[in-house]
Amino acid sequence: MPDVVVENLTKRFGSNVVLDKLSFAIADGELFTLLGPSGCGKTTTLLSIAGFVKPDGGAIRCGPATFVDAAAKLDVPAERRNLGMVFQSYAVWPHMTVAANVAFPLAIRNIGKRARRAQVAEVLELVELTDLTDRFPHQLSGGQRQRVALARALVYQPSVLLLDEPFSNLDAKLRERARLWLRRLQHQLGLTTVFVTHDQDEAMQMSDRILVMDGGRIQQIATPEEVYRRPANRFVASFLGRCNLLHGVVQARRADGTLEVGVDGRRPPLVVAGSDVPLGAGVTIAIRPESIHLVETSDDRHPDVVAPTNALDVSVTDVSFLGDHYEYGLAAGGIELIAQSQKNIAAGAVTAMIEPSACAVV
Amino acid sequence: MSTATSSSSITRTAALSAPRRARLRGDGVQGLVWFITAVLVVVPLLPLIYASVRSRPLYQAGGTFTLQGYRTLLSDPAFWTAALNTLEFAVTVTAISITVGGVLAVLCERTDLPGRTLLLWTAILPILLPPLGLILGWTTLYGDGGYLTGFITGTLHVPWDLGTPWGMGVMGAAVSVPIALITVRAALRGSDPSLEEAARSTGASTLTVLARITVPMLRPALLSAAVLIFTISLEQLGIPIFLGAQHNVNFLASYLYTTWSNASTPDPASVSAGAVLFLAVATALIILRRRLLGAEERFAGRSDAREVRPLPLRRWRVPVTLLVIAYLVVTAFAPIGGVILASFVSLLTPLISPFHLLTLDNFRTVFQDPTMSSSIRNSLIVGAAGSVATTGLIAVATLVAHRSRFLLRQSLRFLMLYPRSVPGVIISLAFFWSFLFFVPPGAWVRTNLVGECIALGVRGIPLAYMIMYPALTRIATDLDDAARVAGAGWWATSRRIVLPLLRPAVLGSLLILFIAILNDYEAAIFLAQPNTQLMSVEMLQLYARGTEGPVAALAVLQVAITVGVLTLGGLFFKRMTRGGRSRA
Repeated sequence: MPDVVVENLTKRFGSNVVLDKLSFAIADGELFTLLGPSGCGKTTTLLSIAGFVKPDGGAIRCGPATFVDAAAKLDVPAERRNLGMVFQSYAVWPHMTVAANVAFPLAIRNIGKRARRAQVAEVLELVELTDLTDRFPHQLSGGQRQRVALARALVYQPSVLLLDEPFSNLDAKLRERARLWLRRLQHQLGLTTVFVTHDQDEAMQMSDRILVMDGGRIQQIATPEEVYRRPANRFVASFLGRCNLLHGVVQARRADGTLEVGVDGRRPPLVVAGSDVPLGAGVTIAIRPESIHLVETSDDRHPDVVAPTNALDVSVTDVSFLGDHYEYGLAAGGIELIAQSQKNIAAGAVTAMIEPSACAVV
Repeated sequence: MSTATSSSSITRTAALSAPRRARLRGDGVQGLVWFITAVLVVVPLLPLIYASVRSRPLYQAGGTFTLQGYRTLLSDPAFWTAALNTLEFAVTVTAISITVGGVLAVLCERTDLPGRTLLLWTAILPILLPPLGLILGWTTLYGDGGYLTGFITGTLHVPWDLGTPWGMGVMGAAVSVPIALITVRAALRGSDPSLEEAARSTGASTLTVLARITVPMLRPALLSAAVLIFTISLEQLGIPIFLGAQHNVNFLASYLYTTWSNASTPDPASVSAGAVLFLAVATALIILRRRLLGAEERFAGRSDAREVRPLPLRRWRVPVTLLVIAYLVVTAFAPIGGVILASFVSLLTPLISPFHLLTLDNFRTVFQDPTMSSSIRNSLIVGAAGSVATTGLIAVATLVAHRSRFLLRQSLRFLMLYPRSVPGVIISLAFFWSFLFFVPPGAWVRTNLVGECIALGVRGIPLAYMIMYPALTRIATDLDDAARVAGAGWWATSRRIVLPLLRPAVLGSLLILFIAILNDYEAAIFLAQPNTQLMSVEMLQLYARGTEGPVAALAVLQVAITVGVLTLGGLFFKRMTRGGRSRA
């Protein structure tokens, strides 16, 4: 399986720059996700790889083959790229049976009838549709149609699989199952896959690596965990999950590399994870709601004990019950925070504790 | 590649891409379709323009450049009278059609009028009926000495004369109302009903909603329909020949036709000059319409139409229903009844009860006269061949125009719509000259039905496109993209995915074009020869010579064939779509 290399990919619609010199590489067998809000350019990127959008600049290579090289005026038509694609709408041809849909790519490649039948049967077994071979698409459920689309994309052993928001037309329960199923299948086949979604949960669950996009630019490329825990900038921090963003000034660097950041003129300063920003610089600090631990302020705290790092006296302003956890609105002076906890804490004065490693400079 | 054991074929080395040949084939088909369409639409007009500036007809050697044709035309007072008559007629038709068609569309689409679906389709029906049959029906009922004329002018004291441009305008409107109705209905379907519901929720009455929200939102659609109907009215030939003859009232089309057929010197250049001027005006109008509206996207309705709660008519329900039914009876059903009656009587007169004059002679004449009986056969052949050829070409051309990266695809959209703005008599004249001018194919096609088939087929191109294009927009582009990604080239994708999905539209186009070609007379009027006579042209020529009964019999046969084909096609259509396969 080849790897996919995208270099300086640029696309303009009129004066509107949709893709701004995008460069990234996808490793062999990797499930690589393009994540971002609608209009960020992720679908345009996918369609450029597929061959349905003609880029204005840059190059796309897939293993030894070059799909697009704007400088050399090369743009291989979609049908000669040998990619597999599952469309958001599934695009299952309504006038053909399940078997005919899946056999179509083989017929185009002039594969003999017998070999065709065997390969179709094999791939339908893989996607668990063997019983529905002769059904027409309107007789299938959304989940089944999705699997037909997937079978059709896999049957001719494409070099790369492209998935364009394949779960968005499924209901929530089915979506959950389909994700796990597809992820397992992709692992099993070791198929290089490019996956487009605007759903961060989906991206987290499925991906080997995530490319977070906004405004036609790459914001971060990293593993799901890294993107979540160490967001490269404020956009990534706020787009993936909820995030408290605090503004402050770097006051000191501690021996262990952590920084002291004065927020809103408060004493003591917040201790945050290390970063190479200079002293005196204004920074934004991202803190996940679930990283804030709430402790009911007890009167028996010994006055001699030094307060632990990043313990803030806050007051609970509102409480929402969300099933498996509570969400608290907190006020600490001029700062407002959101915290999540499984503990039911009575409104009033509490202490919020935040590990320095959970405070990321973005 | 890893642990996959259950999927040996999936893990084999990648299959080959589709052959390179596929791409060349796609480009070849696209280029060919564009070329054929362009040749059919544009090239026939060139000899006509050339003929208008030559001192001698094209088939005579030794002509020189001259503007004499234009001078003769413009100094003929009859031309100016005809132009004024045409203008008066077109304005009348447009005003009445827009009013009646708009009201009908709103009533059937947005209110709780009882039986509104049936009424809607009944009101659209006249567009499919043979125009000559309707015109003849009108003369038998409302013309000079018509069965009902005495009642209208005598008993009702309505100043009425079907022979005046105004009277003919009323008749013309009866045929043009469906155009306004279809356009406005499409606009209503495309607009968001929640805009009206929002007005109702603020407490507005039905009348207020219609007057303040619905109608103002329809303004672009009404304007578009108005320009279209005006343009179509300009080319009317049958109405002045049938209704204006006794009063010596000519329109532009009938002026050109009668000048041509009565000329002392054959094929006068002034007729070609008139046709060129006429063509220029019609083209200007269609460009104006495009400017007013932008793209042709208007033909495509909203696909996610949801059920709309109709506006209540309340106590007006019954009177309005009766009024609509009365309108349909007076303008369509009674005239059709009139033609049927006229075909079974020996003499058309309100003075003697028609039941004393009943006879089958008219039909006997039609079937015994060699020209008349062969004209029926010819019309059926031309209708079948023309509809198949045009539908085939335009189905592929629509795909080239809207689903390909062909370089000239934009121009193809214009080419397919352009013949609609060319008046029928001009298409006819253009092909007449072309068949004389381009000798190798022309000399052959002129003497058989192929020539008429081409001319009538070209006239059907916009119709086929207007049926194909909205159907195509309802086929998601994802479906062709999926085929492309799977390795199919443009032609394979078109042939195996898109064209099969277009089947209902293809069948619809076949039906409508067959009827349109069967009932068309203008585009063939200069092409018919004794052995290639067509039904409608024969009717026109017979009527101009004073024959009435057999013409009515031919009209009845035309109506019968039309209704029969529509019924059969409708049944077939239902069966085809009930299969459910074409549901997306």
